[in-house]
Amino acid sequence: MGRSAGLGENRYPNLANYLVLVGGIGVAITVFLGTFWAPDVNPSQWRAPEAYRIIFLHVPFAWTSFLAFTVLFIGSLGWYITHSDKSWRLVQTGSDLGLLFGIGVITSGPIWGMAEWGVPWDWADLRLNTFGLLTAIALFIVMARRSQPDHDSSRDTIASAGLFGFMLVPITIIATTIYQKRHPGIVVLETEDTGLDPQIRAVMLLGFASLTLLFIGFSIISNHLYSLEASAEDILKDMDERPGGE
Amino acid sequence: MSGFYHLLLADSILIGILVIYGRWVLLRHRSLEDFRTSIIQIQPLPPDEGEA
Repeated sequence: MGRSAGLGENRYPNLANYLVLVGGIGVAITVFLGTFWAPDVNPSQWRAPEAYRIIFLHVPFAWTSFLAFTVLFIGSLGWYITHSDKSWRLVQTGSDLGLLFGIGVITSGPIWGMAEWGVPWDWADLRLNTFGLLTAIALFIVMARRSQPDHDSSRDTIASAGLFGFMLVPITIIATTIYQKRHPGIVVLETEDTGLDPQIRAVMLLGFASLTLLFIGFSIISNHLYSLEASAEDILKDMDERPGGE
Repeated sequence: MSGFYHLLLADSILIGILVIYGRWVLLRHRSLEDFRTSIIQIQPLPPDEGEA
């Protein structure tokens, strides 16, 4: 007992509410600016010039998913080292949010792909497939947590998936540098060959900042909820073990 | 407006999944609150050590 939030802590911090609210407003502003303020692209170079505006949420969703997978990695590593409930809550939160943002990327991406490339997916592209695999690992972890008995041994297995899956994050990030097939390369960094219009970069960064705030808010709420869940389970267990407590 | 409907669909899905997750988290919180309240109510009273 006492491993998780006590009975008195029945409300997550108000900070989480503010973060979700501000993040949500930021996302709405990003969509508005991306649709109506960001410049047009050269229609002779783009098959679907209006669809490019998907980038203002698609890319921030991808970056935010990397944050979530990092939380998952830290939680998995912490679980292996300490076997603490605090680390396990990070695994739970990281996998939930990694799946959330990963699904966002792999749905918006193919929609954009259909418009711009004429195909929703390319099985030969490294970045597409490593990111798809990353999201599949998050899905596996979420489903395993819900279907398997909650013992240390199943947590060990799930955490190992979180640890190894994280290896795909740096591979996905540099995929277009080491092997570019179809997915565009890194554009936020200015080089001789790449770069973004300042307005486009500004809106994209606003999108990322907004989603990061949303991510932090969701993480706080999720972490608190899993803590309450564990606390409720502890209480039930104590009641069952108490003499005459059936 | 080439790709406009794709833009609309993609943005709707992205915002939609954020809203759905937010609602799910809030509903879980409420159901957990109700569950905890019911646990507190049915917890047996500790034995009175002063009784003969």
